[in-house]
Amino acid sequence: MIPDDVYVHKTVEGDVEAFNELVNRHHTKIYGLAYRMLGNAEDAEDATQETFLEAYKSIKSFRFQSQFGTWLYRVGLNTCNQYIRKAKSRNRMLDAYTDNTAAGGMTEEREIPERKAIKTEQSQVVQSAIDRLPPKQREVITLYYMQHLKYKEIAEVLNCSLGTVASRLNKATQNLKVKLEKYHF
Amino acid sequence: MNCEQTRENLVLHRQDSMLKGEKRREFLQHLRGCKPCQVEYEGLWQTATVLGNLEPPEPPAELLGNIQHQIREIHKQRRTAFFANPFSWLFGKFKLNLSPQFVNCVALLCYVAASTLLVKFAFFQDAPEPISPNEEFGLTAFEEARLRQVRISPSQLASLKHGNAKTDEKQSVKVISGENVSIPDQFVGIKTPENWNSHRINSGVETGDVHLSNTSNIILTLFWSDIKTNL
Repeated sequence: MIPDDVYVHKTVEGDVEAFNELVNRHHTKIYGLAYRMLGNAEDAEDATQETFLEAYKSIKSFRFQSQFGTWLYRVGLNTCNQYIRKAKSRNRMLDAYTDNTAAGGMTEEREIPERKAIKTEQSQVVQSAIDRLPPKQREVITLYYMQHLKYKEIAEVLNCSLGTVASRLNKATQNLKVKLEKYHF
Repeated sequence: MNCEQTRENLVLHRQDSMLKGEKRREFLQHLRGCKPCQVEYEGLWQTATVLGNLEPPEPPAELLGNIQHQIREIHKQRRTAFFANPFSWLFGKFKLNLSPQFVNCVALLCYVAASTLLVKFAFFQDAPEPISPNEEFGLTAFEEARLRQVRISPSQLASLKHGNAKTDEKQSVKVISGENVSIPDQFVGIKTPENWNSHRINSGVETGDVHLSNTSNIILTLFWSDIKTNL
């Protein structure tokens, strides 16, 4: 199998189909990352597209100091974090509107109706629990358990130390354990 | 190692490389003898197993094609020169899938043609064709031929030019409308053109040369009118 770096070199030289081969190789895992980070298919699809477009535009900034996949994860996480920030501000506006129209009555788990309807499925329950983690913990959980990256690779993607990764992962797993305990998986 | 330190290392224990040597030995020793830490460890292990067993979400079938199409579009835009962007947009509107090189060439040719036309109209206008006397005075070809045979004595003009026509009584000059325009007797009473009064003649401000020149023009116009009448 031809390494990613060869295709990256070809892309920098102007071969668009070389980058499309990289898209073909990596789009599934970037979609998986976006799906776990954002919690819904529509946003995940948009974020995946944006990730690859951004990667193509800034491919010249890739210095071959890490794996292309690692760099792509970093671009993907940045895109997802932008989506999360946008969603937060949107939710704040929605919350303000809800508080004004119907005072009180808000449960701890503020979830959309569709999500509640499919909550019986285990993956949806877990996803719901992941959605309620802080973004930094969500990142390590996704990269470690779903993308199966090693500590060192996660540290490269997140640009932090191994100790930080371990600490965040520990906290995130314990948080998830608490959230999932009541479902008795 | 106490319970708190052990629980901090529970997750790390899943990866052997993260917990080594003496630390690993102390961790396992505590875990064997501490029931609450064992429960915690089992819970974490179960959570990690659930997370690890989650099915990866399948991307929609059209996602790959959409991304690749968008990448090709960006690539095409990049290869189109900046001056060809409006043409590229226009061709796109008409759903014409043309190569960037072709669009660049079309744009370049259009700009060169437009520049050439602009320069031509700005700096190389055609000189106006000379107007023949028959067009200027409305003469027929026969009249023009006859006119060319007419010889006009310069004596009247010469007298005007030297400024003695104004007061020369022998030549019977008259003053029209109180202005210093002297007309010989034989031309008094000839119907003048409609724009007669529009001529700036002898406003009293102009120099003598201008006055003489204007007056000469008037006299010449009268000569022409007379000749036309006689013809």
